[in-house]
Amino acid sequence: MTAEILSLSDEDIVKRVQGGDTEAFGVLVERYEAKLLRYARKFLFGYHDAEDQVQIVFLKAFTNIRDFNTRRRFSPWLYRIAHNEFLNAIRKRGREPLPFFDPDTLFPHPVARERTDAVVLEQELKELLEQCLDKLDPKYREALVLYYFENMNYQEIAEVMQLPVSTVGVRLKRGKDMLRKFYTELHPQYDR
Amino acid sequence: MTDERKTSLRDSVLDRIRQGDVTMRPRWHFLARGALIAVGIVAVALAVVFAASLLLFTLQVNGTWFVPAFGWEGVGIFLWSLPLLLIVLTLVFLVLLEILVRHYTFVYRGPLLYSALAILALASIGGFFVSQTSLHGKLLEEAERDHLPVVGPFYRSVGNPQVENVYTGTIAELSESGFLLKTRRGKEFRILVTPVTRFPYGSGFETGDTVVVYGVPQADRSIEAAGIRKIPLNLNPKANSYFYQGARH
Repeated sequence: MTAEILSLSDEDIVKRVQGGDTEAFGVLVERYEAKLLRYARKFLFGYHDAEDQVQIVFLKAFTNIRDFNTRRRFSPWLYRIAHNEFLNAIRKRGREPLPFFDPDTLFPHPVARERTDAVVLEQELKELLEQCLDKLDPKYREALVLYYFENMNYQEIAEVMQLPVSTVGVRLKRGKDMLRKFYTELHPQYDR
Repeated sequence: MTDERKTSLRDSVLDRIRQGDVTMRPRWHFLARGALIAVGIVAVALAVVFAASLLLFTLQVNGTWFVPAFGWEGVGIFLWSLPLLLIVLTLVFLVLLEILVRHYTFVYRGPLLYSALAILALASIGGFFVSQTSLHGKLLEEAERDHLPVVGPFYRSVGNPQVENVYTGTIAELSESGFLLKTRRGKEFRILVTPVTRFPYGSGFETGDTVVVYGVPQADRSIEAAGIRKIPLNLNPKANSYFYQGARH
């Protein structure tokens, strides 16, 4: 793979793939493999086939690459495909509830402002998340994983999950509250 | 992440691509899909407006729309007489439309409530304006003459049902005790006005007025009126000719 193509942006590489340079798709796979595997392992906690699911995501992305508008960002588009595939995997296994309609999306919600001690709390929450991933409802787990491990902002998470931005805030807040509750049950001495 | 794994996943993806296991869908596939969704949205939106306008038309023709004026009894009749099939059909179209429009970013970025309200507004306003035209009257006439294929039976079943104890028609003849009511289908009812008869919008009736009567049938086949009100005719005079023969405009 030439240095020239490695220096291109994701969107420019997609343009080349759309034009017929299928080998260039390998660059995108290399760039996003680690991120998608991390996302898959955390969102599909306990499913043990994260690698297979990530391969399906890349193949789906290739199949639909001509639907991608190169004036937009590639990352949310790819994560959106991953989101759909991972949800399908959860549905097929039937181990976790995925209701068709989510009441959180019905009404507008005020978006909470960031706290000044956000950095400290973030690290603490990441540790809580690692320990209690399997206990969380998928809709909260995914929002927390995208925010804390994929470092996406509310807008990007809304794009991936196809939700209103205010609903993303609600999911993060409720997910954090549930995390603290589960963690406190496991570690009664935890008092924050 | 080791280099072996990096190479392995990239290579396995590229191998599948090289072998032709997966191919890029052509651009026209996505354009066609987008066009299909847009056409679907327009079609379902039209269906929503049509169903909502048919619902309004039905309620007006059988007089149900006007009986809440007779108090809580009227409200009860209104609720019990609602054409459930039409309401369910309208709701199905509303939900379908909501599902289709959520395909677009500007829709799913906002709460469901906003798009649902916009769709309800479309159904209400569009339904009202279409119900003011002569469309449903003409279609029902064709259905009654058996000239409406496919949807004729459905139209006959919802277009002009008889609601218990509610009678609509024109005043054919006034008398001291009440008046003779003639329905669109040519049936005649002797309406008796008693001291307990309510007139929520006044009692100055004349021959040719279109009215709705809420009353109980008597043994002699007359109707003892519990409430009578004039029916305000549609804004479009052409729409009224279906409703009531000989109606005054």
